[in-house]
Order: sequence, then structure tokens, then C-alpha cells
Amino acid sequence: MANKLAFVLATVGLICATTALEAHHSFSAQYDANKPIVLRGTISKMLWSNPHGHLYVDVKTPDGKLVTWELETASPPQLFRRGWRKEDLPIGSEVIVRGFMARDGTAAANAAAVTLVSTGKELFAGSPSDGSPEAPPAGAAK
Amino acid sequence: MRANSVVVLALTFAFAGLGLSPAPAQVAGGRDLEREAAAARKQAEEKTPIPRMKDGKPDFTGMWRPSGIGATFAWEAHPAGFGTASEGPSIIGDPADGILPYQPWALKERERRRRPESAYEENSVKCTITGMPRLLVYEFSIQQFPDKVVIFHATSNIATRTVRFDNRPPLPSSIRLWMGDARGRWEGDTMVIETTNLNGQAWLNLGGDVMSDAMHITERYRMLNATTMSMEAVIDDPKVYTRPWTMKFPGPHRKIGTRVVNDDEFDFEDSCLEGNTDLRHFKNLYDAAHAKSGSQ
Repeated sequence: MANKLAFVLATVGLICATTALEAHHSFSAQYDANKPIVLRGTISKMLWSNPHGHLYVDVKTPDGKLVTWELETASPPQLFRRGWRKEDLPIGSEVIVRGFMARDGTAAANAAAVTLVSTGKELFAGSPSDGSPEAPPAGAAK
Repeated sequence: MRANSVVVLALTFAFAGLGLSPAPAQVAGGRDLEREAAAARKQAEEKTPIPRMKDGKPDFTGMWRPSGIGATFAWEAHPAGFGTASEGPSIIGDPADGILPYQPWALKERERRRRPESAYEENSVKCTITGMPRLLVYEFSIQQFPDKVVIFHATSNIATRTVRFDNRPPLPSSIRLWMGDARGRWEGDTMVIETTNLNGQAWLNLGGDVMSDAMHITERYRMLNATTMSMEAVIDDPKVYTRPWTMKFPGPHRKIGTRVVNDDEFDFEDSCLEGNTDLRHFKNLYDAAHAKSGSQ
């Protein structure tokens, strides 16, 4: 846990956010710092909506079923400033998502970082300016 | 220094319920709070003329940003950590220890609000107005007229205040509002805004600081030069606190976005309700906790 926190804190400086805007909700109330998760699946939908974007990813379970995960990102303005564009996330493309699971036990998580498998391009999704946590280390697993 | 350490330590424990953890000082989501406040203080030393209205009153028109604070989650000094955008210094200038002078029942209520299942009760997650005085810690835009000042608060939940300077009678006590009833007056070059008629239901921040309908807010704004101003607010709420307390910022407010077009301005819409799936998850936590306790 200490290592995870160290990583989280070390990555804070990577994303520069200088705004002083109101956060939408307490991330620590919604997501569990003790439940980092890494998901690999294909994009089924991207919702460019406020106050947060949502990436929907179909993930295959070990028994072959498809589960659609709802992955919260920063808001569209914040994603835009960080270099995200609609064309970056074509439906059906494979992604690896690192984040933290929701406390309510649903198939939902905060998407702290998203990597496009085809290009290896990493897009940070979390938003420290509104309290979103940083990505857990790549080795963290469900 | 020792007192500060004790405060940070105490808050570290206080935040345990929210899963927050301490962070190295001055690492704040890309912001260096101390440097930010120092830069604002330096900017305030520039000998630039205070803009004035035709009637000679200082002209506060423009977009303003508080400097050196991270007050989204708490107004007392607090560490950064999981889910907390930044650590933040206390914005409580009086009492001098920077700790809110809570009555015991209200402190217990704050502790209750810091449980994950309580987050559903708060307004911001519902995309509704978060109210006064919470909005004082974020950016805002002022449009000034001879008889009124209109303040647009930078929030995803539309919040505008019209501060009247025309001596009209106050609202009756029976009318209670999230933003309250704001009346302005001038003390020399200082703009004073008094706010009453609050409904007392808002949280002061995501960390659940408490207010009541008895709260009376007195804000004082004073231009320091063309691009900075000082702001202080005295908060009196005898139902919640043992004494009035003062909100004070580590550096002056800076005027932004008025001369150079940049992405600090309101250049994106933020329609909060369109994708607010969070509420469902917060309600799940709320329902589960209340089903368990049988109190729903």
C-alpha cells in the first residue's frame, strides 16, 4: 500500500492543473483506494458528458462472459486540455484501463489512466484538479 | 510550527474515514500553493492604478481567482491524498489556530458527513446549487453597476448573486435561500457585502463542514492595485459555532482572463446534469448503510 501511495503521490506533478474550480464530488467517498484495478477490453461507448466523461469498456470474464464496465474520467474540458480527442477512442478498439473500483460493488471504476493497445499511447483520465485520484501502478490487479 | 504539525496530524486521523492520506507539502495536483500565494502578494506590490467607476468607487469588474488555497474538501489545514485534489492551508484567519470553533454536536455531524455513505446528502453530487459561503473559495466574475454588483461563481451548478446597493428593505425572515439575501454598502473604498436569509442546508465543502440558517456572512473586498484585491469574510453562526470566525486567504485574489485570452477563462460549458452517473453509486452506498441501520 505504501508503494502504491508513493506512486500516486509521485505522479501528481505530471499533470498540471491550476484551476480553482469546484469539484463535483468526493472521489474518496465513491472509490476505494484499497481496490486498484487494471482492466483490458474493448471500447463500446464514450460519453463526452459533464461533470465527468464516461468510457464504457467490454471486459471478458474468465468464464467467457462480457461485462461492460463504466469508467469515470475527468470532465470533457479537462480531457480536451489534456489532449484527448473524440477520434482517439474508436468503438471496438482495445484499451487497458488503470483505476480504482467503486465502493458500491458495481462494475464501475475511476479511470485514472487509459492506454490504447494498438499504439501504446497513454491518456491520463483522472483529474487531480477536481480530486480524482491518480493511476495505480501498472502491476496492480483486481 | 509545532501547532501546525499537530493540526496536520489530527486532520490525517480525521480524514481516515474518507480514505485520505498525507502528502509531501506543496505537491498539490500540479499547483504550488505557497508559490502561488507569494506570486499574488508580489503582484499586489505593483504600483498600478485602481480602476474606478464614474462615481469614483473602485471598479471590481473582472474575473477573480483566490490564490494559494485548496479548500474544496476542507477549510482547515489538510493533507492531500487519495481523492483529494490538493493539500490546503487553513483559510480560517481567526481563531488564530486555524481550527473552526465548533459546538460539540456540529463537530459530530461533520464526522458523520465524512463517511462515504453520507456523500449522497451533499448538493454538488446532485448537480444542484452548493450555495453560500461555499462558493467564496472558487473563481468568480464580477460585473459592477452603480446600484448593484452581480457575481457569477465558477461552478458547474449555476450560481449567481445580485448584491443590491439601493437600501431596499431586507427579505422577511421566512424566505430562506441557498445563496441568501446579499446587501452591499461602501466603507470608503471597501466593498462590504452582508448575507442573511440562508437556508442552512448546504455543506461548506465536500468534507462536510456545517452551517445553519442563522449564519450571517460579512464579506469585505478591497482593491490593492489594478489586478489584485484582498478579501476577508466574517462568519457568524451561533447555532453551530461557539464564536464568529474569519475566512482569510494566504494571498490576495488575482484578476485573470481580462487582458490575455487563455484557457483559464470560462471557455467550456459544464452542464452538470447531462452525465451525472455518480449519483446512482452514491445512492447505493447511502441505501446500503441505511438498510443496515434500519433508519431509512
